[in-house]
Amino acid sequence: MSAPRTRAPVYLDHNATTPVDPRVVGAMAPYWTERFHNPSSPYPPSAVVRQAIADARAALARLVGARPEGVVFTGGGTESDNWALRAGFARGRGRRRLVVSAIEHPAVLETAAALGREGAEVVSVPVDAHGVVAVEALEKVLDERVALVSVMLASNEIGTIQPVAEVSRRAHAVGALVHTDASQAVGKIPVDVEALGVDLLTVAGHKLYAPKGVGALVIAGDLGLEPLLAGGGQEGGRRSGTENVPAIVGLGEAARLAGAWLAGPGPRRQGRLRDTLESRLRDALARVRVFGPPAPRLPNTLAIAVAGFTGAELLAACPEILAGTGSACHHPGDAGSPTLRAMGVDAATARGLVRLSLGRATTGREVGRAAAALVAAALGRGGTSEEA
Amino acid sequence: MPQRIYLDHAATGPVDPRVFEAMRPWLSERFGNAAAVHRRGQEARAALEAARAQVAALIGAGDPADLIFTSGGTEANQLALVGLSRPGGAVVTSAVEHASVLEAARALASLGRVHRQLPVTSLALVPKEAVDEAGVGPGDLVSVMLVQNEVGSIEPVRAIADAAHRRGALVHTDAVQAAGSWPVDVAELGVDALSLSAHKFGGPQGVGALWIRPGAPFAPLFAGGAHERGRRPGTVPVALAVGMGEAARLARIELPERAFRLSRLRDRLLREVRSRVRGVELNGPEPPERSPGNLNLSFEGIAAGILLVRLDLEGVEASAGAACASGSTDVSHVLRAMGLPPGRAQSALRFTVGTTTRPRDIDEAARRIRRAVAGIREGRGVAREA
Repeated sequence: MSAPRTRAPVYLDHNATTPVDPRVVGAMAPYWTERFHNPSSPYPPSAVVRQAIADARAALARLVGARPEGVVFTGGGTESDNWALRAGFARGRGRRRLVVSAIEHPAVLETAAALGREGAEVVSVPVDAHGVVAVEALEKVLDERVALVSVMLASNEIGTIQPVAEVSRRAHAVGALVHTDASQAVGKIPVDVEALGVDLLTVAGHKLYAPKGVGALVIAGDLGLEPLLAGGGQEGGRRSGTENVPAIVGLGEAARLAGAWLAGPGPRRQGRLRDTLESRLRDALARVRVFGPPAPRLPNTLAIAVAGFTGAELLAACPEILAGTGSACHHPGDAGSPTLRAMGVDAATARGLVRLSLGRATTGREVGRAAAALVAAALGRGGTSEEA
Repeated sequence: MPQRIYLDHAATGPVDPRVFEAMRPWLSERFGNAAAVHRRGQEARAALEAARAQVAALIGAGDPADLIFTSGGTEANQLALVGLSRPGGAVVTSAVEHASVLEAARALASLGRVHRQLPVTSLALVPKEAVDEAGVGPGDLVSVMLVQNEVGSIEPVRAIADAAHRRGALVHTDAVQAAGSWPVDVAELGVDALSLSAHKFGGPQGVGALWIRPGAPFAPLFAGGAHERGRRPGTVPVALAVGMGEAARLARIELPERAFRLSRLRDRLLREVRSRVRGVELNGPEPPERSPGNLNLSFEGIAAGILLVRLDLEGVEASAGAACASGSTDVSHVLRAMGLPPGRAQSALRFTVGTTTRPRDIDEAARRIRRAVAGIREGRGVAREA
């Protein structure tokens, strides 16, 4: 490669994880040191800590248009998804059917599969060729047997935004509960629990510049969910375990920062940078495929494949870029990206998925370097116009 | 305003500054997802595995791969009880376990499993013969904590594990209150699983670990990805794990010194309080047969809640039991299981010293405890004395 080795690589894997914003680190730091008190303890310093948790809860609630009392902090998105599916399904009582989309994160799909082994009837709803849940297909499996429908708000692999409000309307019409895994959406696009009409919504802190090890399940109504973690009765008895106070404070600060970013020029600028990256690749590489369009996408996500390359090969050829070949939790083997496969993409192409995900700090220069590196790597393997 | 004195280290403590320094880079500059294949992912994974090895070393676990990171002690206990108990088998706990163990056992009972409790002595110790008397059998899971969180008793985990194993049961121990101030060695304890929580030994909140003996039949509770070898899915909080690793490293190196220091401070507080205040009784075993940092004292004729308010005005931070039960005015299940007379149980407070406690804090705390008790006994109001 011609790229000078001294330059830092361009990090385009923000859908896998984001750096903690320095302002978030600053907000958290005192809670590891002088404000270390256990929020459940009876003396005044603990009241200060409790107030900090309450502030964080209110900030996150504001970001997603929820009531503060509906926000329950968890250990992360996976825990939230596990809890939402298990408790949401259990609340359906006599109802035995669980409906999920075909492109959910493994935290949802594998929990659904576990519930299937325990007796649930799990139905997977297909997506169209652009990676959007087929609402007509959903309609066909909705009836009074459905306890819970879980459809993610934005695809982790290709960034397509799902018609969750429509899903909620139809699912509620048959009395089912609705969960959405909004891990990839919160902080990247406006998210409003009421507008979405969902009952349960998953937030993962480390996808929005808060630390790893904290997330939330947002509960829209008075559902009285059975806890997944029982014990000391923290979080109003809904999630036991000493609160991860610094991380919760960090998530609150990250929610404030996300709200400010979403209200400013950041998202449009990010969308333009992503579009620049996309058009540079399309212009230079005849054999590039872009997944998602014309479906609405997250402004930071570009999912591509270059014919003749597996995703891993293409990324290995441009070490200047740090990106993923799909979900970090799910390295695609021979079958290729599960999302692309669900979209009807052939296995060979699906193995080629490269997910480029920009961050708030990604610059035009970095995008230019990334485009040049990808083009050089793709052209390095015999031409632009023919299959390898 | 006099400086406040924190004597509730069993609830939580500040993160050791060295731990904070170790964690910090992993939040911002080195923030990679340990499951990602690129360099940032690889460096995060390497840090995670180094941390795992440090925690494993603290508990004498030969292979770090047998240790999984969790979101804390409660989750570790939950994973152990759900993951190691079996549909046909009973879940057998001591009567003085932490709420996270007891609630997990109750949740399993609501699914049809039998939950039996082992009684304890008046010192909160599980009698060695309890396992035999409870009729533990093959397929059962026995869970007995190593250090009792309220009264500091050291449970005979090795003897319980041997008895349970003779009867074909599996054994878990909640070592959350032990790590950092009491030796923890999985081989010496002879258990099949062991829970830890970082914030009890100088690490951050929000991270813990569960060690599972290789070959033990463990069924994961959560689904969703191959993290932690499929036993605990979810993006691992690298910074928190690094913090727990550093805390474990320091705890291992400093254990003899810490245990000595804490027990000296604890003994000094006991001596000072006993010499200044009449009608004081120690709940749980006499030192040295108890956790180095723990005191649990009853003050004759005084309700614990009232004394806590007085102590708060004096600037002494203590607790009436486990922090997570501090909203409750009931006598704790631990003191009840010990069979303490109601008056004594209702007047019990826990004082726990930690690594940041200084000898002069102890003398000052004893003076303030004396003032608070005298104030109540002399019938003066709660308003602060000049």
